[in-house]
Amino acid sequence: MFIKSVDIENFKGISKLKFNPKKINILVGKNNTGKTSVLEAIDLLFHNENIQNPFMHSFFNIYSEEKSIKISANFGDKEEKIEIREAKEREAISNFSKDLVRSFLENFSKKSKKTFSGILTRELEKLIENYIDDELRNFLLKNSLVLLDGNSEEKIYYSSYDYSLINKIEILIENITKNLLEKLPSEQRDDSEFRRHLKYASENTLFSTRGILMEHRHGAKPIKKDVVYINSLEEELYGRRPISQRKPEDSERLHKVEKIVKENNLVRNLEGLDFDNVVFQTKEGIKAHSFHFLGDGFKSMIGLLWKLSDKINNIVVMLDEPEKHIHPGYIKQLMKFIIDFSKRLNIQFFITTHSLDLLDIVLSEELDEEERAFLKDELNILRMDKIRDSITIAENLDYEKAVETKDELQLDLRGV
Amino acid sequence: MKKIIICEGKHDGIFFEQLLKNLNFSKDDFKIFDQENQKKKDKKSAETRELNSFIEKYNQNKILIKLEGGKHFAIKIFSTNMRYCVENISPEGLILMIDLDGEEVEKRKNSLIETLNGRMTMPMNLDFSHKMENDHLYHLKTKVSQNNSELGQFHIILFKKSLEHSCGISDGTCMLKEKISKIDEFILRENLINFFSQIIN
Repeated sequence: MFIKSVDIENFKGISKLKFNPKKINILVGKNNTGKTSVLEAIDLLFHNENIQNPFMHSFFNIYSEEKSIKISANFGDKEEKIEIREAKEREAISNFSKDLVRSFLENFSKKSKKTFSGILTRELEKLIENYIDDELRNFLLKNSLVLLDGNSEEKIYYSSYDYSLINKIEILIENITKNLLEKLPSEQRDDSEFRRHLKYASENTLFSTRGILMEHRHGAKPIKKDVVYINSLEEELYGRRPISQRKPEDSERLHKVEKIVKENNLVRNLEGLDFDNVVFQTKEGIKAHSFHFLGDGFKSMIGLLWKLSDKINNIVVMLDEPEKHIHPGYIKQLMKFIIDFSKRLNIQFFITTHSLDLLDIVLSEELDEEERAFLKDELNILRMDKIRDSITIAENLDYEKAVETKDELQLDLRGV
Repeated sequence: MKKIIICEGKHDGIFFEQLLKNLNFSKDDFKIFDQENQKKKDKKSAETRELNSFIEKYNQNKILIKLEGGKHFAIKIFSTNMRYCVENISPEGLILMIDLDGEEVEKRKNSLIETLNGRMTMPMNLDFSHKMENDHLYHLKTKVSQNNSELGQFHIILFKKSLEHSCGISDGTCMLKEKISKIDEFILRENLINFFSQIIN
């Protein structure tokens, strides 16, 4: 998988940006120029479900009157694209009604489904729409976005789950259940077992409606392993679960990481790796070092592999400021790993940074000839800027232009 | 209204120093930043520091004259910093002054567009709408836009041959005093105070 071109319009701080990435793409520029937004836009293109978050309305560029986002990426033989817009009132209400009906029907047993078979789905939807009050209507309108994917399939996403809505939805479900009961013959309506069953089904409907509104938090959608967005390398390794609560699958995963390191000879003389110790073959024989005493560059590399261990070849990896918490001395080690991964494992990297050390390393004579030759063909520095806070301007610097800017013109590659 | 002037080298520095004196600017109103004079280890950060300090409100300098060490550098640095300058200084506050060395104006315009767009992810349009000239100089007022959005305006001053040629400074002119006097004479003789007053004031 290799992204050949990226086109982003009206997404967050980006007004319009079109660029042709290479294997290693380093995004630089001042704060709020849209570097992280580029990573988020690419991530959203592959993980549409990430649109569902409490701040999804802030995805729209505030300087644009047009409330429509377009993101596309070209892979040579195919294209991924999405369009996002605000939902119209009719769409938001109708979508919620459909979701609620689906929840109803999923939670009613065969018995009650049979009982309600005379009531058509459309009727149920209408009933729900009638019971939606102004507060719920406004919430749905403000918190629903339409995402049109590459297959021209429109899907409505809710921005967040608001706890204050539980009561609203609960009352709504109660009213609908009451209304449904009224439509039944009296002997069935008075059947206590049936009523108990209906109450249970209503409660479950409320529960699954909450699930629909907060679907992403359940991790219900599969993650595309070809595109990985990493916010913090260290967090990948340590942040998820305390050591005392590590599970057998964590050890299996670390074993996978060890295998990748050894197979690709990423760390010379590595003999073994576990959460406590790293064992090396040295001139003096086998030596074990506590994992925590090893350099941050090494730990970041393991963090990167940890995240990628499900799928490691032919993928796109996005790293947001990997220099965070890393001493400048270790950035070199990390960047050498990144170059190596990209070359050997065919990984395309998109890396945002504010680090002069990181830029100096990729353009330095300290890298070996093979690494430099790779970067000469495969490095792209995307220098982002803003005019009047609203217009995105970006420069593409290949290896040659970056060296010229840094060494000949003596300018700061990150911009003024 | 702050202005940044990007030019070639030391003689341009003298030229602007003399011109600004004639335009009644005091010594505190402007600063000459010579990139070549920076210590090697400070070179990279010196430019960023200088530009960032210049745009601060507390900085009393009205004009920053940047000497880039040759035409090649002046054009490249202009192309790189143009966005920053049109964004952070006054409208029309950016001025590029270079020698044509006998080159056609059209050729220079095209090569400037080429240098600028050689770096950009999306092409920029330069609209050289306003042209003024005298026997020695061209003045082009230039609008820059991208994707139909105007980004800003700047001025280009082109010496038809070169500043040195116009002033009569030859390789044999070694004394600084002599150079200053020749440049000053040229400014007064050609009424450049009038030519530059609308660009700089």
